[in-house]
Amino acid sequence: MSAPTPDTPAISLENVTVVRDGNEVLRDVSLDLNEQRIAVIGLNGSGKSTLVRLLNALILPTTGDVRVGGLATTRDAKRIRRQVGFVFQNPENQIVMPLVAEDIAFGLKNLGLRAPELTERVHEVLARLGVSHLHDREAYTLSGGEKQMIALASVLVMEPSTIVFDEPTTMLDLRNRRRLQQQIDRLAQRAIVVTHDLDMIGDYDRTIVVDNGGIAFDGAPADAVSFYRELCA
Amino acid sequence: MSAPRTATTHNTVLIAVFAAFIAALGIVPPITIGVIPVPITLQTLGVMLAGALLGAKRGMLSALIVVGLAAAGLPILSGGRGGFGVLTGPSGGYLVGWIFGAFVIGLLVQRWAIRQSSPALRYLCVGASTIIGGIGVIYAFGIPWTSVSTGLSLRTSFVGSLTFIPGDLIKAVVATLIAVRIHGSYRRLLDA
Amino acid sequence: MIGAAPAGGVLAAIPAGPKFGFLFVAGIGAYLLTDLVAQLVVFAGALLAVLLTRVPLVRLLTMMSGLLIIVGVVFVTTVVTDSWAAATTAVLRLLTLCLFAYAVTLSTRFSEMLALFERLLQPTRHLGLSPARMSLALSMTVRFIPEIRTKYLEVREAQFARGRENSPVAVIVPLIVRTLESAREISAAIDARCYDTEPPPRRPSP
Repeated sequence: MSAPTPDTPAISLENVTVVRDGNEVLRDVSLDLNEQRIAVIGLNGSGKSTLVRLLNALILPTTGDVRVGGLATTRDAKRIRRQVGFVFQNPENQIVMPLVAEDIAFGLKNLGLRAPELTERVHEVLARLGVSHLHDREAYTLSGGEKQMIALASVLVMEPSTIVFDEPTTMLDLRNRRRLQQQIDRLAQRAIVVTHDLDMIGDYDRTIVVDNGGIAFDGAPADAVSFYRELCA
Repeated sequence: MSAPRTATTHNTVLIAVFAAFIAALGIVPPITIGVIPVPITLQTLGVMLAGALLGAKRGMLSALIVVGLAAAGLPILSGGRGGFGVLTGPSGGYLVGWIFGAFVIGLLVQRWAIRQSSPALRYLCVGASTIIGGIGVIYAFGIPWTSVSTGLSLRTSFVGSLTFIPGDLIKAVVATLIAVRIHGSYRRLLDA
Repeated sequence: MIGAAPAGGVLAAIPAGPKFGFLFVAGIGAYLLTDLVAQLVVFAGALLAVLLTRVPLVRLLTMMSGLLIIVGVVFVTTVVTDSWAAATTAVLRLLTLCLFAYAVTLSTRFSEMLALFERLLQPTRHLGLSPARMSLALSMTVRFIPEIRTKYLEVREAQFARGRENSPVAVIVPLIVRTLESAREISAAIDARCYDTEPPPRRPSP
């Protein structure tokens, strides 16, 4: 895996419980997430999506604390979101501007950047992902795989120190899955990946199995996957 | 899950996707419903739904966006029309009417119709709201403008508009059926 | 889709604001004139303006087809109920106004018009509305129009199997449900990219 970046802020969850509509979606979870590549696996409805959405303050804990670099998500959501990027499952819902270049610039504008630095960074990130040819395209003309690449680009361009992926490959065909996996592998920043794609996590530093609102297993990927397979049997 | 304030982004998104919905209904082929031989365009239905589902303010903003984009040149009005010419033309008033019609429908639905206790009353009241806002208000803007822009008398304009009423009544009924059904599954849609 | 067709002709060089302003004035002017000769002159000006945009005649006629039909009806009706002079005046006024409007649209790029609208909406800041939010809403709408259209056609296809493709309720309810669900995630994705709206979120009550 890629070498760890020294300045990546520590992520910690302390006794976090999340209750929604009267249901306990996550129950008393405590975790320190510092490894470079972390996989989160579990059945649908296990709470894994909720878990990772705590990390960039999209969801707030009902009780307990989630901290990124010492900042609490309940108080410093905006600052935390500069550090923790998020790539969603459905790329349709992530591209919000009509043109690719505009969409990638969107996040940078929110951070206060303007031309010419903004234009340069847009070009640079597209080149890095090998999709420069998509720069002037209209969003709706892109294929699913292309959209997911652009979604990644739009997050990457903001240079967060951590990127969370919530089932990024679920809606892609095999070839595009491989491409996205390769790009994730190449990332310099920390990646926390929720996935059903057990093939992609073999090299990861740590795998967490979420089940029924709690952490059922936390350790090496190979062991986690065996545990998970038994769980599903 | 989130405090009401953080719903602003969500509101902006809802306004935009409903505007896109109204616009999309202008560029899909008209539908032939049941026994009626004439195909019906669905765009006004979209406007009624924006009001009925999003409420007064958001529904109005959705309609405003559609009219604004069409005026700016996007060919999103039924039949692929667009541009300033549509606003200045004889039917321009109806477009402006969409904005106020959506607002009135929204107001009536969120403050009155959806609060009815019995399902039957709910259907009736939502129906009344869509007719008052979707036909009454829209035509109240449409007919006078037709008269001004063409020089025809108000009465002639009014008589001319009657041909559209049956189609719009069908749309009001359809909008009611859809809106009540969706409010049933999404109870908190109009809380914002 | 986004009206990417380049704006045509000599008038394209004039910025959108003045053109729009001129349209406004010319439109009102056309309706205030009573002298037939003056009306004809202004009408000729409008025709010239449209021709200057170099729009292909076929395209122009298609755009105006609905209008031309109504113009015909208005002419006949007014001749019958009023007089030839009144009919001519009515038709000239309507055509003049609309031709100027078409000239503005055909000679102005969509992006320019949007930029103009956004500038016009700036004062609403004082009413508490956010120009940045409006700009985002406009862009998002343009972005999602083709997607929603595609979804509509897909849902309609799906309903063919049940023979319900002609039921607006059967097609639109699923479409709206999907749209509402997407809206949640779209909004989360926007917030995740540091979009600045209001004060920071507060803890939910269980």
